[in-house]
Amino acid sequence: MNIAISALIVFFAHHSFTAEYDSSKLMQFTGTVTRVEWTNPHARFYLDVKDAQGNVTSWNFELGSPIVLRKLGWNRDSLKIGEQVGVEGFLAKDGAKMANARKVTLADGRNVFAGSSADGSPTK
Amino acid sequence: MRSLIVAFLMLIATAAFAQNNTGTITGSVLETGGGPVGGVAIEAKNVETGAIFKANSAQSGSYTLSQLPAGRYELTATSFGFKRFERKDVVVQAGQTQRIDLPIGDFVTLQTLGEDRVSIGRVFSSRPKPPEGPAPRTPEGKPDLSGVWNGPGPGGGGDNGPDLLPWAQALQKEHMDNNEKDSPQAHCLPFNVTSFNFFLNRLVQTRDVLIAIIEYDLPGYRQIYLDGRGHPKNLEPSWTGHSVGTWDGDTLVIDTVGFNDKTWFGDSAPHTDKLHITTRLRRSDLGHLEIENTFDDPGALKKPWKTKSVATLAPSTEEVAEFICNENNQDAEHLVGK
Repeated sequence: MNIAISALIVFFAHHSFTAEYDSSKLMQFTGTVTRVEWTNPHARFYLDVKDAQGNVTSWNFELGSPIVLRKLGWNRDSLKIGEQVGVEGFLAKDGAKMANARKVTLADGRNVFAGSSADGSPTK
Repeated sequence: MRSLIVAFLMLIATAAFAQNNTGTITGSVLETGGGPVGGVAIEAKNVETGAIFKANSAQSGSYTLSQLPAGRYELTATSFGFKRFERKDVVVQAGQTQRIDLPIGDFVTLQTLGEDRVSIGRVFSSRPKPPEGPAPRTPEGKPDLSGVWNGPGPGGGGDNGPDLLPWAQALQKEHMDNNEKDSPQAHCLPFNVTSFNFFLNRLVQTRDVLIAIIEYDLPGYRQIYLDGRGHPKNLEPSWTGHSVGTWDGDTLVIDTVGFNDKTWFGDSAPHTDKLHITTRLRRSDLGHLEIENTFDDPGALKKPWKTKSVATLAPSTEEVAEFICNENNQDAEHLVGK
């Protein structure tokens, strides 16, 4: 086991992904951004998601630390309140209305908070 | 004209000769789920000659190492966030192409944006090349380690982790079985026993003290006394211990003791309050800082564990960001573990 590298990953990750999220429950969400928290250890944003019956549920999405997101060129204004977005993420294991965000897509098709320039991230 | 034709024929002959004596390895790099992995560094090392041939996998995961002189090779594939793939005794035969797919497994599932492999990989790959020149010196003639340093990136280190005593191994397994839900960092407690982390590290060296200001670390600073003092008697155990530094030629040797037993080595291995870290820092030139750590803990390790890495000088305009971990740690109550 390579502790040097696994240490690296955990230091980046704050917590083990599998301790909180269920990698078998990948979900797609579409909704309106209601809040962005540019905070540690994770930036977060909240979406109002409407179901087929018209019921609105607030979902809480986890991103990486602002420290890393900033190095990639993102900031607290990269996602705006009121914006319609699509999100792909894994659900929390404990049933809370929480998910990690592995893909965030704006109405114009651009992906925000991504690390790859191919996904439309800004160049620093 | 005639000499041109002769030259042309010789070129064809050379190409044919090369073809006849070389072979090709081709295949795909695949993650555990079978998906392709691009950007993986693949190396074939000729066992007899030591010659190294390199390729990178494409976005489709495919790679090709061609023009390999016939012989026996060691094949390796490394990429951030994955376990290193290694296969020995790959025999390349002249004129033949063989297909070898390279399965490389994840260390952990890195998914969340900003913590995913692509993001972290980009943070490291976009770092500027460090400046060249001699290492600066202090007025007293000692090497000056001051500067903003980019912590060591992924890669290197080999496969040798700490060799744990049985009780520590058992506890490590328990931590891993619980997906490290009780790790100090997940609960916003200090988690790094060294005075360096992987992002920015600002070192400020005076005659009497070396101060490290560390990004993405708790508490985010260390003090290493250079004024000749020793460790206090009856030292109270603490999260980051007590550090004193002395010069061995141009190498600063930092001795750290007095740790509590609440942090972990890496992601899961425990240590005791007998942990003793010897750090050797050597600024080999203006842009490079060699870091060697020896972790000794007779309470948890069978033998001392050594790591080596190199930090590179970042542009002086870089600023270490604050990390107030507890401002919004919503995870703690949702870490269910299994």
